Amino acid sequence: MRPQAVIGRAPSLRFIAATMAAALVFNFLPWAPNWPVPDMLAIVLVFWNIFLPSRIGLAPAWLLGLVMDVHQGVLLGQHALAYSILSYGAITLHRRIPDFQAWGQVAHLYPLFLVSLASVFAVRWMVEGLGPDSSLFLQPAAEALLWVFVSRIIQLVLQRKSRPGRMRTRKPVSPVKT
Amino acid sequence: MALSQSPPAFFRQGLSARIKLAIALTAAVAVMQLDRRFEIASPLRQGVSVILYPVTEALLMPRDLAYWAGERLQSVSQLANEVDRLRDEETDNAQSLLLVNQLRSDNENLRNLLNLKSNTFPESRAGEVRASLKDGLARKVLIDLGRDQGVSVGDPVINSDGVVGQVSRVFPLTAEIRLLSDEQLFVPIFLPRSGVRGITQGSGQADEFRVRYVNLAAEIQEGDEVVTSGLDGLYPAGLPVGRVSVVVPAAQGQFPTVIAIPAASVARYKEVLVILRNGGAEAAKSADGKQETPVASASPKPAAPSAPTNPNAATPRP
Repeated sequence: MRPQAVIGRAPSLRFIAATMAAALVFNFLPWAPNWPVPDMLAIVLVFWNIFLPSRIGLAPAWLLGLVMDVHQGVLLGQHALAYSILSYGAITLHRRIPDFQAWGQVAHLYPLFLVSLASVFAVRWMVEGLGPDSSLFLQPAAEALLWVFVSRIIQLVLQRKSRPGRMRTRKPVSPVKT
Repeated sequence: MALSQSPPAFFRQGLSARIKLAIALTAAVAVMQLDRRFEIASPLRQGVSVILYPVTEALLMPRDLAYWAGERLQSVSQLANEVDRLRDEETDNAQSLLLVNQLRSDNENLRNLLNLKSNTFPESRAGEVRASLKDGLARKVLIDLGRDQGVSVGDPVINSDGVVGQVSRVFPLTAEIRLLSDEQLFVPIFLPRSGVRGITQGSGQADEFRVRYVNLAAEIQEGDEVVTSGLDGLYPAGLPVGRVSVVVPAAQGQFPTVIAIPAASVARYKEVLVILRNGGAEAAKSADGKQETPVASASPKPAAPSAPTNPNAATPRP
């Protein structure tokens, strides 16, 4: 689905930052440790790297990865690594993904999320000797499915923000009194 | 570029994506090495954690509110039962506390007579479990005590049932506890019934740990009690650790597989006690000296002059 409706609607930096902050808050919620809860930050980073690859690059992904490492209390840098791989993959796929229907997008993104999460597990295995568990396969599936919904929602918000009707609701400029 | 308003730069393209990826990966690996081998990355972690602290606390608020409301809504009869149970427990404990106090002063006197190094009774501090870390491979929880309260890395953590785990990382306001079921935590233990020593290692499963390196000839049975041996000088000896649940006899040339269930569960009680090994002494002294008050107040007469109890010990005298 090439989003014709959102072509040329440049989202403000504030909006991009707001989506990332919301994703971060989602990740900070006290989830049960054993559930394959999707990593919302990864989803949002993939979205912006697909739709705005020239503005959002690897730097925010890397820095937000460090924040996630601190929050999870794990070795610093492993999420930075994972998100960098994720963003690179998203930038590589950014011309293909929007042309696919939902299931096509899921099929493209599942391996991407899988590789990214596998890099985290590889680091854990090399450094701490801990083997992967079932979330290695379940979590990317949840992320790829959720990505479809999240990307639709962000696009809808963008369309709403840039609808001409919203422009008319603004107060007309009052004539200058002389 | 579906969303960008302006066309991308024609000449100034910047670094290619592949080079950027290479830089990002190298930087990530470098940070990992710094974090693992040196203390350089520690201030970064501390700083970010302090910034994140209010956010995570705010996100825990709805849950805490629900807990609080649940506690308020408990029926009166339940609370009465709880009070009865605690009273019974207190009476039971008062007897043994009395005995412990006497033994402690006796022990101190005898040790003085024999010129032995005196046993120290470490300071401790009560805290509460705030959250469990979302990390599928490690069993860790966060408590509301940190460096400001004198907690340091390696401090043992117990609750009323026994050993909970060990402090693995300290932040200014919080600390991370590695639970007994974490694969990276090892505690030297002793099985009183068979007199065997060993070491525990978490199995990575919730509420389960293995007893490793036990004597090959030892006959270990299901239901055997596991207590700390105190050989590491870290955990006080004799603390309950758990109970053996499964024993798989040893094959030729191998250790038997012994699986045990921890005595203490943070899922049941949120309150934990951190035993402050070092640095805690001054911090606790400056903050308050209340740690040993329950012991002192339970004794009808003040402890012997040489007993290491605090000056408050004299207050309950009639």
